[in-house]
Amino acid sequence: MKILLVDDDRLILAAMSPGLRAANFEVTTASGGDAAIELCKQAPPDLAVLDMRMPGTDGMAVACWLREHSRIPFLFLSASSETEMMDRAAKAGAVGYLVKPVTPAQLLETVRAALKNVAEQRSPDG
Amino acid sequence: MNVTWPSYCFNKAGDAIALKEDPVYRYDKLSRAELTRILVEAHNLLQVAEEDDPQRMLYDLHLHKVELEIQNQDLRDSRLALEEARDRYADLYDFSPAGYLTLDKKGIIQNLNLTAATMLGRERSRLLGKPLVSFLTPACHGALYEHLRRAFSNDDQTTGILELRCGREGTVREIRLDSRVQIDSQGGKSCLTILVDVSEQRRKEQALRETLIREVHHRIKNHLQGVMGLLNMCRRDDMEPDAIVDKTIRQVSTIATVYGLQSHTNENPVRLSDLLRACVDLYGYTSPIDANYLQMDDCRGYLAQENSVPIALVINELMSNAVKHRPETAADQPIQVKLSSDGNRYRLRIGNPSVGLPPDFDFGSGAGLGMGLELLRALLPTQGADLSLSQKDGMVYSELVLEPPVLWIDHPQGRQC
Repeated sequence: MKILLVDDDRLILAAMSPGLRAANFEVTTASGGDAAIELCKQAPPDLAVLDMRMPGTDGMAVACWLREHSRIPFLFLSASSETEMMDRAAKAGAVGYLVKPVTPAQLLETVRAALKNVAEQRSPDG
Repeated sequence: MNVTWPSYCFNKAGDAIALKEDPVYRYDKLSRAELTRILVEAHNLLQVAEEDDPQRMLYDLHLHKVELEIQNQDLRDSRLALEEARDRYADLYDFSPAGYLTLDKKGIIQNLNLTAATMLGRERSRLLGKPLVSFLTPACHGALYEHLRRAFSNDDQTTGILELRCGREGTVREIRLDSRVQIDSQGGKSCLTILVDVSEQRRKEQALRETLIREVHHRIKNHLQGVMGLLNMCRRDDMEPDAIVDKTIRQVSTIATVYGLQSHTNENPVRLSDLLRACVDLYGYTSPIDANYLQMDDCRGYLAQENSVPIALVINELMSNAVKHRPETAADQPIQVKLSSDGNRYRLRIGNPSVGLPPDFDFGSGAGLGMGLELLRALLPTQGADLSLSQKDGMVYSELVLEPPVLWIDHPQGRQC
């Protein structure tokens, strides 16, 4: 399964990728919204993990693009714990919302659960 | 000397002006310049005229009249100028963007400008003699009396912010009071107070404060997320607990160093040589280091905020590897650190004595990499940064080349790239 990690902080990308790779996910990273959209066009991942606040094209803009142009599910990994942001994420169609900092195990668990839910919803019986 | 007294002099228009024959001549019809000319001409005549010349007295009287007229004209001009100045200052007072109040010790309004009257929501005449406290919210009553007490007890300006019920609707606004005591000619004291509505300014300050707090929270959480990820990577590398702690402390110190350097500048760019010096210093206590970056005071390469932490962690990892892989037999041989530049390209070379790279090592493909080098590959930007490793004569060299867009050449305020 392919996971796209999107965050403007490369330290987070570098530090969070190995945990997912160790769990046999294929991980690609993007340090900005535009690069993330480009990657989704070229090689659509099975799930995108988006940072909410990024300079330029932010996570919410990427989420809108994903919803309009693809069936790629996405969840947010954001430093914001404000209810308003969580509501916006839910309205945008996010399958999850994690507030930083999270342990790699929490991220892994959330990613697995999100993929499972999406798979169940999309299965003919779901 | 006998003088022939002129019967007339002439004004600028050439009109004849009688001096002797018309004792009630209206000199006030003449301009000041014309009157002055008459005086000068007459003065010359008087100097050469005989003292007992019978015409002289009459002529002299006329001249006094001319002089008086000049003085009268000067007085009228002065009065006009004063009235104009008074009107001008009255306008400035009344239509100033700030409200002006004159208060007595009890806070009774003695005088006020139109702006203050508008702020208080009544006609000026109806406000005279009213206590200012009646326009404040109850919570601010004590604060006003304390403000007045301080204002009347010193000569300096006293400042305070109070809540005023403004306008006819009594909308509560935050008002800054700047007060200073004045003493009139009879020795009476009153307080001149300037009222400035700072509600909008305070609202913006509060919004800015909240934005800053959110930004700080955002950054702290991001850093914690990064540190948690780094710690988790150590778990996968089968390191001893002490080594994990040492490594993590250096990584956290490196991140803190970057933010320390960024706090010195407004736009947060960090000079590459300063960053390198700070990162290498973390290892200077435990290992001999031969560094020539100290000559790089003219370094023109700057790292933008988003690149500073990743590049600093890369430098930290290279230093860590250099120390870690140095054989015990070469413990006294220094780690070599050199920063050089070639136009817009900066080259950092770190060398350490080594038994050599592993046979299957290939940094480009990622083969044979430990956790540290794997981290390096992930941290390096895809453009503007290149890392290579080589070995020669018992030394392993890691070379990090940085150029735009990772680097800014010259300070961002006047950057070239």
